[in-house]
Amino acid sequence: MSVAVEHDSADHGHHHDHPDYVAHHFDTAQQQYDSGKLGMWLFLIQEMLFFSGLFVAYAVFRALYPEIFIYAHQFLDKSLGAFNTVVLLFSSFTMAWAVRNSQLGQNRGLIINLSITIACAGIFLGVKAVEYSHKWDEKLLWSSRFAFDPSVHHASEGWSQSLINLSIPFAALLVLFALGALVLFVMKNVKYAIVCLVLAICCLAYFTGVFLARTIPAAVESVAGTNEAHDTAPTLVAKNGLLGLPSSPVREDAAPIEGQAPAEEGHLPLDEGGVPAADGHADLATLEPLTPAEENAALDSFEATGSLATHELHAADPPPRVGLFFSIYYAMTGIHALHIIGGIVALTWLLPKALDRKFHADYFGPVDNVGLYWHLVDLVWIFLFPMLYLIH
Amino acid sequence: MAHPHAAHGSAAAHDHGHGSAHGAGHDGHAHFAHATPVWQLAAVFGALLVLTIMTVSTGMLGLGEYEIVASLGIAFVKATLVALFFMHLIYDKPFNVMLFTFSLAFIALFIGFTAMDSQTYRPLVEAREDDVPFQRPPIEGEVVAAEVAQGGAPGDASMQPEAHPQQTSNTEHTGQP
Repeated sequence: MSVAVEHDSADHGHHHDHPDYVAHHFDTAQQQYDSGKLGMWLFLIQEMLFFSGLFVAYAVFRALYPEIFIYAHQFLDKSLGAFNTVVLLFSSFTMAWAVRNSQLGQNRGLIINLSITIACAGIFLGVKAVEYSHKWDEKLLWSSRFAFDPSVHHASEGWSQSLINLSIPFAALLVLFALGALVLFVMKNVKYAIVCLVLAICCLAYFTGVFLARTIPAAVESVAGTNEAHDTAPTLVAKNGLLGLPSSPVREDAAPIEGQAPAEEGHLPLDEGGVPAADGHADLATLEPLTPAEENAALDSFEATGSLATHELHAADPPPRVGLFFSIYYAMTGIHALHIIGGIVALTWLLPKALDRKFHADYFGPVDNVGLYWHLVDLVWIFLFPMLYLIH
Repeated sequence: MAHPHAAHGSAAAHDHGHGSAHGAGHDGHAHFAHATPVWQLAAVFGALLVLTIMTVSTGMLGLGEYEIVASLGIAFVKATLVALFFMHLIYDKPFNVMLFTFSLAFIALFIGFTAMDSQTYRPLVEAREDDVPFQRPPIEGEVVAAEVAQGGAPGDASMQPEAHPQQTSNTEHTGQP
């Protein structure tokens, strides 16, 4: 059955020695597999070079403007980044297991592992959506649209408009796939009913991710909050004092830090570390953002007098060009998130084949190659997480 | 390494007798599928979790400027684990490994040369930045004081206290009238 025959063109691959899972232009299953894998590696290398352009942008701007990165890191929630890292690592584990399943012809395990991987992608996107919406609510946007105002803290509790906007596609897809699964089950098209069901689960996982992202930071705060605050607050104050940055960490979640009064509507007290409180109008002037003209004037007087003290006028303001960080942040995480969505599509493409029991020891290339892609997306995140979330 | 095949009937049943002249695997049935054992995948996942905890907790050590080195070093270890075991590179053809490492080398060149270049021209860039001050786009609802500022002589440092009298702290700092 498996002899590598000198198959004449008249056979067109329908020779009984040429199994139907080997395309007619390949001699053997292994040749087909190796060719596919080589092609996949070339694609992945191209992807790595593509992402490396973003890493270069990060490296250059971080070297040029370190103060921007130190200032901006306080808006990224470390606990959410770490949670998403674990979600992606787990999905990589189930993906690698799915490849093993496909090699051994373990069809049930393959379908389950692929489904878990797809669900993990949904959770990841849900957490990401909450993170994005928090930043958009505070106008922490990319460089051209950056309009963050330190004196106005938008409490990011509940469903803000930006989170609703991000979630609408997932809600619509959830309804679509749930209905689709129902209709297909009634029509006894079990295969595509299961595919729809898994995609509906993926959308549900998105909302699970949204829920988790809104509970995790507060939970981490309450469990480790006391230690965390004692460890990091003084160093942050010291560092920012040197750089002329605000000393108080502005949290993107509005969870009250221990010892602080609960956040009032629209205003979070900024008095930690001895910085003027934002909720009293007495000191509001110091927190008022400088207009460009003011900034120029302040810079002029700074140059004229050579006095460092003038520079402290900027204490409550973000450093100039801080939008650069968010440009890089959105470009890197956004393109990564697009790759996650692409991964969901690729994994979904495998499901009907798996349900048809197409994969076995001689034909598992598609699962292996999608797995390689998925692991590369994980690899990119492994670097993005410390680069963006763990800046000090 | 050979054990997964024993478990798979259809491959094991007919992968002998061919390809002896070409070496194992040439006929497409002998041992080209290497299934990584589950315990190994689980061990790698466990190691990745431990490394994630490590990288988060390095922030508490206060390593200063070495922190980026430590966290990127841990990221490299994690990436190596993923590449070797999850991506099967440890069992893959040397040619694929070579492609992967070459691309890493070129990425290192790309980042290294660009960083060197940007550092070389940094004084020029900074000189230019002093000529063109950064203009932050006005925030919604913000009172733009450009007209007020332009009322004074350009470059007049003393106009600032008048422009914003509520900023009481700046007169003592500037030393301007």
